[in-house]
Amino acid sequence: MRKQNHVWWARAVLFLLLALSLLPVALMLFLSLKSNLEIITSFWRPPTRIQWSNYTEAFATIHWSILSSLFVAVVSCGGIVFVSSLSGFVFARHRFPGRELLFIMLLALVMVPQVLLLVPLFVEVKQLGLLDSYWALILPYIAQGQIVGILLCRGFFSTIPEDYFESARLDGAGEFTIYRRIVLPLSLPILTVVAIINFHGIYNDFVWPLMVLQNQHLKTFAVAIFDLSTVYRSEYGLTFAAYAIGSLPLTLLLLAGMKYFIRGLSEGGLKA
Amino acid sequence: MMWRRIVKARGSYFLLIPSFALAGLFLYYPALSGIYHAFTRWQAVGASRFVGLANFAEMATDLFIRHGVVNQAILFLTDLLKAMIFPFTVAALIYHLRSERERYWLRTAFVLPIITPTMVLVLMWYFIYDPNLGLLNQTLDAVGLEGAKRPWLGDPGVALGSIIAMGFPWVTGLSFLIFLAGFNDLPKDVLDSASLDGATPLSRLWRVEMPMLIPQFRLVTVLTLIASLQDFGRILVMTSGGPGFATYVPGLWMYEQTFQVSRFGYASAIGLALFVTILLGSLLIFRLLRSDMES
Repeated sequence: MRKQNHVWWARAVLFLLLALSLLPVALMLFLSLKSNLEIITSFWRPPTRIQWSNYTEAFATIHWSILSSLFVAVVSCGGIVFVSSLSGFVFARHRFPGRELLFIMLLALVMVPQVLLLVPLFVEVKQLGLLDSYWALILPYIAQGQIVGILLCRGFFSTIPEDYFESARLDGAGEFTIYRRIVLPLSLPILTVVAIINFHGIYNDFVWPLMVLQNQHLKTFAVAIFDLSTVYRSEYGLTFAAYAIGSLPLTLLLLAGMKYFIRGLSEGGLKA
Repeated sequence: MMWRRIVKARGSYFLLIPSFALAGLFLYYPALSGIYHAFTRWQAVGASRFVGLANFAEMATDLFIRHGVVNQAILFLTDLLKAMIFPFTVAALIYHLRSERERYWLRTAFVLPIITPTMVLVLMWYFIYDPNLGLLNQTLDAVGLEGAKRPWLGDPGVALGSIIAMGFPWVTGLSFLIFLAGFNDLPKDVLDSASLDGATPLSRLWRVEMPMLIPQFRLVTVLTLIASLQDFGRILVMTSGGPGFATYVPGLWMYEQTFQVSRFGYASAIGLALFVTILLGSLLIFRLLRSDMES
């Protein structure tokens, strides 16, 4: 029935494409262990002495930018998770006039693309005096990340049986207590998905941080590594080591939550 | 009556304040401001002044926009092919493997490159194209094809092609996962009856599976449209739009008009034009790729 399982070329094609996909990552790791001279003079040969010093120097150069990115991403994701779950809970479980209208007003914002916001948001952030401050990243990230988050959370909270809330209300718990004691713990999986997709997006964002952060000490990893590659153009070994170090946070994130990540990408995409 | 229900529900509204405060300040206000200011002259100093359609008239004669639109159209079409061909092929091949374990590991392996930040991958390709040290020219040297060596990003004839080719074979990412999820959701009984009818794997893929995956193709097309028209970051890093007009796109020109010369009104007009293109394009795609099952 499934004859194609035995066809050798299917596997051959898959492994060839896989090798090509992984090539830049492999090249990065290979070259990060070579000295500058050996990259220039003997590109293909393995290093005669592995240059761990590339990594120590690269770490000294870029660790601040990685901390910047981590700070912005963690605070933003915390905010997104909080606001999404709170509003998702209200939209799913509360009955009040204008509920549908308010929900559609938020949902309509998924159609607003980054290009429409870029210019006016830049001017707004400048007028608010938020240039060169992490708030210029964090607040817009939360505002944008919450939209899909609310959608996912509302869907999830609608499936929780009413009994959970009813018995808590009979015990005299307020709405915020119900949110904290029941909603948050139950929705940990969906909130992890929301946090991981947003963390990935925020850590990778380039153009917006490039525009709003000028101060060398505040720059996030994506911007700092772009600077590094243009300023230290001839320090190849160090640059590749810096690339590898900057890949660590996402590597750890994915090791911790690969299944959440794949689920998040598929669901977030399907619902967008 | 209504009023009393609203007062009674004040707790619910109260809990929605954070969402609406953030959305109002950082989504609604800038979006409306951008739409309004597209029709104004708006600069770093002084108030904005309404100028009607002047910004759009200027766009029609702006050489950066003219070249940019052509480049953007080429990039969108190639982005679309890139999001379809290999991601779909790989998803189809993985789905038809018999071993559950093998399917799982291959899916994970293909997703693996997302551990590298997007910027690092872009910079790796910048290095691959490096005229002296880059992998591409080094390889051409090693296999005796010195004649084919080029400054891949500096030659106006090939720069756009180099930007299109970066990321080859373009499997990692959303579209691959969307197709794979689509395959996994196919109803098994339909597929089995198709097999019993004696359909070969290829004709089954073409006549049964692909028509059922139209929602996935539609989604990938829309997402590619949205991403392609906004993704000028890769071009900013690789070529800054050059050499000459060779790799300019409207998004990059909007960024430069904002960030370098503070022509916010004109830049807003470019942003609005891109937004309208994305919106109308998405509606058109939904209309054209409506599947029979849904209508």
